[in-house]
Amino acid sequence: MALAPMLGLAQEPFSGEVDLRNRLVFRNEYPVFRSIVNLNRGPRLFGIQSRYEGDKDKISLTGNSLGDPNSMVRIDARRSEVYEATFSYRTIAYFNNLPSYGNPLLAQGVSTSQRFLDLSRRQYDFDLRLRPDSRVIPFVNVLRTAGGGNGITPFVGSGDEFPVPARLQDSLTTVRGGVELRSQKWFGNVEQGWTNYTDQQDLDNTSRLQGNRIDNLVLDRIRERYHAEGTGWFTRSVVQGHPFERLSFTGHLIYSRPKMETSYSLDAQGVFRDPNTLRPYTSLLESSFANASQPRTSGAWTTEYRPWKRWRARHTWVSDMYRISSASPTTAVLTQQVDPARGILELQYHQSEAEMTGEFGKHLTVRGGHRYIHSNAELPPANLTFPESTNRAQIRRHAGLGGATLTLWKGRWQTHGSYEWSPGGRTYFRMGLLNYRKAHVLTRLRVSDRLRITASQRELQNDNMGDTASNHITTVNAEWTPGAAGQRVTLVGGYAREYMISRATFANPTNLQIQPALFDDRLNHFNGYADVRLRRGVQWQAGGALSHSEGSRPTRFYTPQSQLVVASNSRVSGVMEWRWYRYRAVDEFRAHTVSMGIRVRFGARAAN
Amino acid sequence: MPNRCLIAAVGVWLFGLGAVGWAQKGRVGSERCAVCHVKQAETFPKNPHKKADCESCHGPGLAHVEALNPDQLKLFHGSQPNQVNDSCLTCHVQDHRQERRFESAHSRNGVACNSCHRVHSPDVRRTNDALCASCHRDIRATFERPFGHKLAQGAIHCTDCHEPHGSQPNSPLRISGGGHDLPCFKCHTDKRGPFPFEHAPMRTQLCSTCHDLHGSANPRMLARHNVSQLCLECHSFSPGVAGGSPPAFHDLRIERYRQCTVCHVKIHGSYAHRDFLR
Repeated sequence: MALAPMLGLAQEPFSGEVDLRNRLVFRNEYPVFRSIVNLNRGPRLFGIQSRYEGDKDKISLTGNSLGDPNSMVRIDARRSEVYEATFSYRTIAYFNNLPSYGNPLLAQGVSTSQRFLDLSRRQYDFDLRLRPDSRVIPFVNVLRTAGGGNGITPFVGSGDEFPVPARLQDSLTTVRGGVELRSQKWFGNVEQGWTNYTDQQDLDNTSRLQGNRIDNLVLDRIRERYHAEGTGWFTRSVVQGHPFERLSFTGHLIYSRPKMETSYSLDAQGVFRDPNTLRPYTSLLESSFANASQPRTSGAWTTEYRPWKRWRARHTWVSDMYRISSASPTTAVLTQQVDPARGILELQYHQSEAEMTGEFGKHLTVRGGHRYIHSNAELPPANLTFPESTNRAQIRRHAGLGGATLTLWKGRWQTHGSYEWSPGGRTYFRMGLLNYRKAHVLTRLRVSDRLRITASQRELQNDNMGDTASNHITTVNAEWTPGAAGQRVTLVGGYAREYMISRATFANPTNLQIQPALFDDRLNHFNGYADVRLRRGVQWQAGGALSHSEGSRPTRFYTPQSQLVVASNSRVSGVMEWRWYRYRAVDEFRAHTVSMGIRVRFGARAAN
Repeated sequence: MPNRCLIAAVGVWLFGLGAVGWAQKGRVGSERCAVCHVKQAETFPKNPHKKADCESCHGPGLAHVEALNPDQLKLFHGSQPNQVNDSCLTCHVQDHRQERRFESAHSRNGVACNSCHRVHSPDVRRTNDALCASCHRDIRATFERPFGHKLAQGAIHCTDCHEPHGSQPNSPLRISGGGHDLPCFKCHTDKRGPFPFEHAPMRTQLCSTCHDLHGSANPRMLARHNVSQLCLECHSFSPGVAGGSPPAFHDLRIERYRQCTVCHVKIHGSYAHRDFLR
């Protein structure tokens, strides 16, 4: 018999919390601040949580940062044995304007707004499941995400580039529905979905722009327009089961076929020069229509067999195959020259992985296995100079897998370790892993109920045909809660060190001299946090993070903060918070944010 | 004839009683548990597990009640992860979220269900960013870098991109759009494609080929401090590796040619130009 009705506990159906704040922001270098932190000033609904829980119905509302550039609202509703619904709405503001980025003239001390983005995005997600406690569950899901805004993007052509204002818009709608089937030993799911996708970019500028590269080239007027629209269907099916006590399996199959149609038009006036013939001209007209399709089939199947109680054998097979084929005849209107272009990108990827896991007593679990990847890719033709560069790429990779978990002192000490080693093979790109070793060790120690320590070490060493990239990451973290059962003081501190080095060689195309390209990044990161209950109803929190990076791009990023919460009673409290942001690299800014507000709880028990 | 039916019915009833008795052997019921375990009893009625009783997971409690010895019960604290998971999966194996648990790094590395879920509390899902960070401290630290997804500002959460129960093999990412789109494309819709002219690494490898997805010291979350460094790691003199070298007029000693994306604007994919110029 269920516990709830037997205990006869009084349950108040409504509970929740509302957090209202007003934020002041003091800053310099506003574009850099927004590119990195992106918080607004003014009044906002910092957080809201509300819950109604009746005998059969449950509704909860969660929202945070309403009024900030990034906000979210979510509603969950459920009626036992009838439906389960979720709706979420999210806004995301994406702003990026760093004068140092992508600026070819920076070395000469010229800071142009070569690239700038100020986009806002809205996402709606609705999910409905009927009869969620039954064996047959129909469901439907609708996702809509749409964004748009302004920016500056380089227009490239006529032997020069010009930073031009741009208007950007895109959207994605996905609708999917299907049915879930459940039984004691089986689970199945079949769904059908449809997507619609649009992307549009307009450049429309009538003021004269000087070229970045050559003094006497100018862009008097430009109208450029992309419009892309695509639709696609997909079918997905999942099955899992455990027909016998020692045997379990799961598999899925997905087929999709998105298609895209695009149009592009360009009308530009100015003083240009053909980079090949150096002949000047004043008008540039271009139009193209293109299409692309990407039929894709993916599947995976995993079987787990337990020959003995403490041993498990698992095998997974994965296949992924797709082909993007496209055509785009471009017509330069002035010369009536048609440039037929066809693109193709084809991939066949297969992976087999087998692993055995064994438990040795109550304390030790060990696993070991092997992975083989077999993949072929056919890539778009490289329109570049060196014939050695291939348009077909392959991966043939064997990898050894190992791991162990050690649990001691009734779970107070736990160490996880994993290791992966691949002696080589082939890789598509030099950025990919070829001859590599990966290791990760994580230890969690609960010294007492008040002191916990976590430490981890992560290593990656990759040797890619003489070029190497390696990562060494060490983290140590401690959490200390002195006082009675964590009520008085909590201290959390952490340190992370990451050392990354990459060495690649390249041939300078003008003189074919082999030159090194080196990158190294040495990051030291500290974070600390103190939570102190000064007296009944008064709580002070302080801490922050310091991130200090040296190497190819020395960077400092400091974010200390402090918060004071004063409760007038169990339901109402006042909040005051201060944060400082300090960023220093090629660009820099400093900003203080101060927010004050009130937090109100209602109902018997505030929502978590 | 009616007597035979009556006898048969009584027999079936007695057999049923016996079966129930056998099934209930050693059980005391949740009311008895609540007498001592007051804290759990207080929160449990708001828990999704409230339909089950205590002994469904912890086993018959009579011996424990009589001896007051916790060893008489099936307890999960400090147990082998597989024991914990097997117990949870007795009911949850039909849950659609478990469909890829075999591929989950959590499952393979012995992270038990109760590492993340509170079985007795009203909110079973403790899946917030702080919980993830309690193990993945190194990952959490990278978000504190200046160029990253705005986790601290609340714009994004770990589970927006990651499926802790398991996703495509060897990829902890939550695949969206019916199972083919990376979670990146849910927000960065304009990079979704398919493009008539695709930059191949975006399709054949992940976005992480060029971007540090959690946080970076480099603008645009790039994996290297300037663009050319990144591009040249593939577009160089490397036989057997896809990606051609830059043409000869790219004199890489000149600052301009080290800013590749100033000209190759549509580097993720273009609708109009095979070299991604527009």
